[in-house]
Amino acid sequence: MKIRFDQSGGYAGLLKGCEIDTAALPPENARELEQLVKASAISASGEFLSDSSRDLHQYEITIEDEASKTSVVFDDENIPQSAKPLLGYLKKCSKPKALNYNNDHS
Amino acid sequence: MCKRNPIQCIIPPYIADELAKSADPQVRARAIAQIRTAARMRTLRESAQAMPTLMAVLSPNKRKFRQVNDAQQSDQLPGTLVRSEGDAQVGDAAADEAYDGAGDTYDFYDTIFQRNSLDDNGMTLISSVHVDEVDDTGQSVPMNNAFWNGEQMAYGDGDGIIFRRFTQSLDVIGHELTHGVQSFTSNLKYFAQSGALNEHFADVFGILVRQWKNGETAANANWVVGADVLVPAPTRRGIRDMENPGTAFVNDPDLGTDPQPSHISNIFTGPRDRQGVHINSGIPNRAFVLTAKAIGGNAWDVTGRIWYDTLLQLSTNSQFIDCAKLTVQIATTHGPAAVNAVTEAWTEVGISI
Repeated sequence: MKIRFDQSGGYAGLLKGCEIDTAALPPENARELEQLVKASAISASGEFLSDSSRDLHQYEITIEDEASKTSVVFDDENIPQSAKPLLGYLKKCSKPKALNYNNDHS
Repeated sequence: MCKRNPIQCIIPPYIADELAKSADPQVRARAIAQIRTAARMRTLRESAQAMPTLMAVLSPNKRKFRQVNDAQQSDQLPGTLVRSEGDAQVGDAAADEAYDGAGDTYDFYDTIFQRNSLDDNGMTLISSVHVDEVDDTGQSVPMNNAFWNGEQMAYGDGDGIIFRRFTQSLDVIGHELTHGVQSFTSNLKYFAQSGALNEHFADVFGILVRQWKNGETAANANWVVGADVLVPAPTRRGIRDMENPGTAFVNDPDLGTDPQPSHISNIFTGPRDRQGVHINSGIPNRAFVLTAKAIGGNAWDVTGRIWYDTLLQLSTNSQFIDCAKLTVQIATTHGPAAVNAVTEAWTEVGISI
């Protein structure tokens, strides 16, 4: 399972994130992450962004396995409760991420 | 009232519907009242998104009226009211800075543009300080951010490692309040180029409030925004450099490298950041600074006036080219030198009228 996390926006507009392949993790860590993904209940792609707020952080979580690829985008005012633990985990392993004009044209 | 997700703070409709059929008249009555309130709130929320004026609270004096609240390290807005217009300092730096910064921003718009608060109708300026983020375990953590939520400003305290409290920066306070001004004027859609313009105007008037307060001319002004929210380090001068986008921070271990383009040829069109609203604002930002330096004097006088009048006439879907054309058109009332300065500035960033 591959998980890609991108954080953007906020007043500072900082770009950070991480990319994890559970196959490359120690089995216990892989299991922990797979549990978080399952508990997040992210099952369909979608975008959940506030219409009237400005300078909120924006989070994109893309989950890819053999069967499917799901991508959800939400901001600070639209964090699904069930996804909070996964989001917390992903925020912790985030690093500054260069703006990649090729990869980011998705 | 829960401000976070009003729909989720009420009994869900399917339960209320069941209770409305209860044999107990009191349960029935309460459920029916609940259903009516929920319907009203949904309508209000939908209308509010279409009509920002619904969310403005008219101040008692119909002029400058500030309210500063303390969210007390929670994410619930607004929190507890700690300082109202005319009250003495409360001794909490964040609250007093929010109060002063909102006052400076009000005074700037009122003095320079005769604009009476964000809505030009004496709207109350509501701020919350000590706003935290709450993680998945329910633990509060300091917020490294400030935002406008459609009704009020919210300021975090920063983690103290990379970020300081966000009320320390007058250009941040002015930036957030200018998002408010825009929701009552152009209401530029917060996405792609129109969104980058929204961010651009927020940076412009945020920095002009600071320059006006400090008496900085365009020539000797510091064109870096957000320096005051950062814990200083040699790899970073601020959050954005309006004159030289892309140079505010370089190879910084915490921030990375400033991603802003300074020319239309490098415009970012990917999905990040609502298609780059904080990224592509660098392009019009540079055009503003070039104009202000070419015209000379105080940036808020001629250039600020051209940009303010432009802001009033742009529409929700305006693109960079629309903004450029309008600034040139409005510059004609300020003479040929101004027209020249504006035209050349936009050409420099790759937008030819």
